[in-house]
Amino acid sequence: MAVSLAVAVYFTWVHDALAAEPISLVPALAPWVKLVAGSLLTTAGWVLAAFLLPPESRDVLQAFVDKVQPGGPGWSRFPQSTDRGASAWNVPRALLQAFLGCVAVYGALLGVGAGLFAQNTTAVAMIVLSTLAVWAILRLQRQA
Amino acid sequence: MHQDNVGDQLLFNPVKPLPRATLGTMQLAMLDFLVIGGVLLTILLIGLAAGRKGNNSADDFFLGGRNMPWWLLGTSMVATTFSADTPNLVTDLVRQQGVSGNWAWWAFLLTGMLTVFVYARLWRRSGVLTDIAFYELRYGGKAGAFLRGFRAVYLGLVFNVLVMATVSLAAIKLGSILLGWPGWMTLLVTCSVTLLFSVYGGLRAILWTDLFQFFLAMGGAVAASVYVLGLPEVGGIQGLMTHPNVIGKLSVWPDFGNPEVWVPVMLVPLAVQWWASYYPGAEPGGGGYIAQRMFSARSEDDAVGATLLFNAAHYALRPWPWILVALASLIVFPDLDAIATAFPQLAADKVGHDVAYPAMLSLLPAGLLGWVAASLLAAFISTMSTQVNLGASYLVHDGWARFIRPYASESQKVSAGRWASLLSLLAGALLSLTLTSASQAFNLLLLLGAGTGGLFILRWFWWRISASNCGHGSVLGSGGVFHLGA
Repeated sequence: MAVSLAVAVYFTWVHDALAAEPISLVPALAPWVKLVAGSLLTTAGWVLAAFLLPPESRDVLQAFVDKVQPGGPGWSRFPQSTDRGASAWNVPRALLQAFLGCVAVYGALLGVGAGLFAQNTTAVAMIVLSTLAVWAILRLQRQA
Repeated sequence: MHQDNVGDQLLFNPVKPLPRATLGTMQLAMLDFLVIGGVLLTILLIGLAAGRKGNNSADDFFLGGRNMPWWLLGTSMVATTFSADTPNLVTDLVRQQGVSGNWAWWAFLLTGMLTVFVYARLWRRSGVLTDIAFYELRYGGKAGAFLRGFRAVYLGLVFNVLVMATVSLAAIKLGSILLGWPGWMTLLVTCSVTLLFSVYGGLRAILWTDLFQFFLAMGGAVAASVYVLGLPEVGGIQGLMTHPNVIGKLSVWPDFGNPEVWVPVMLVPLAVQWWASYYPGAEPGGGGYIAQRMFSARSEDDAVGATLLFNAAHYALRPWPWILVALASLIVFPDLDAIATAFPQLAADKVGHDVAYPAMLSLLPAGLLGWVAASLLAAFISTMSTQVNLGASYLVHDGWARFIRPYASESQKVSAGRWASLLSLLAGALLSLTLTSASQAFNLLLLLGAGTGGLFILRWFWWRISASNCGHGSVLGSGGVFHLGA
């Protein structure tokens, strides 16, 4: 984690000083480049650490699984203690519903905007798309 | 190219700001002050009435007894996220980047929908009182305890005070422009109301005042946009769409021919920012006051319903009235000089594009102006009351009662919560005097959480995530805070 912390400190304090005139040792970076680079490097750092550092004790993790029952391949080493837990892995369906939820809300947002600016065809198309997404979410929910 | 044309037209056909006489120091009539006084009194009475019911335990004070319905919780989430500075932020984005600049916060819908369909049930099932109590549920031993304590102080004190300072800044600007009040007076009035009902009634009082504030604010925002569009200078939707100051700002899509525009405006928020950043109200996987309301739900279904209502209303229902006013402000106040000229009483370091929203409100007629001003003050009160209660829950439940007084009685925890509320609100209000713009604060909050979001998403589903990983994220967050002070 020392590497990731160093990256954050570098982008926060060091980089702009090195990029400033007259040193100009490195090119100046836009704030969004720093955000992306910092996020990706930090993420890579903690993912690597997850494989290298020891995990929590088995008792703690089993107690967490028993209480929250998250399910899924990430907990395959830990037996689900109840029937409810065994059927709790609904993340693929939930991810599809989340995607459809975004389509529904963005469709409504953009449809209302298009309607306000008298772009009627776009408005109708967006609202129809939004409605279809809501219908699909409900259908998936009923199948669960 | 397009912007150059607009610039040329502005050069040769400058839009005159309104005469100074219409924008004096004191904008409100007696009717407006009566409306504002009535609204503040109503909020206080609702809060005191709702808060009468049992505040005998930490569960009562911080979670409303864990028996709240989805519609009340969802509306409260929307009301809390609508702070007095939210329309200012949207106005800042629209004036500087166009409507497409809103993707900076529209992108957070992705994490919002993940919270609805993946995490809401898990949070409710965990049974914790705060989202940072989760640390000792998921991680064991001293490392888990350290993380919980560290986050209690960091989020409960440092981060929470910073958020309160940010929204207080908006209230100061609002009071200065619309009421002609100095910052301390605006904060004194609104923070007094906030403290009275939130310290007395806890979360239950906050939820019910939020319900009132939501409808007050939505109605006010819509009414204000309708009136502003009708101004002769604006000329309705048609006049707005064809005005040279506005044409280049209208599109919801950035210029895809220019990577320097569309990459930061749209690609980065949609590809990275939503999962990598820890932003209040849009924490990856849910957290903060969103999680607090999920814990308060009477069932898992209520937790899901509340977050779904929140995301639909927050992203689809609310933005357009603000955007319309922001676009119209480009006609009435085309640049910062126009704002500074119209509001000479506004301190120079507070003049920014974000104040164009309250500047536009100053054009509203008596009565409507009072309604909208009151709705924004109510929005401020709503956000502050939530932050106060949330921060107190961290400091008391995850700090004081966990590490210092583990045998504290329930009534002692409630008393400690009330003291923590008072002190953190005072700290946030005082810090607000050092910030200058809503965008600055928004970027600052993004910076503080950069890179930690994936941890919050994966910790529920991957056994290898450990306290060591999360400790790293906390350290980075604190590094950002030190940078702020530097």
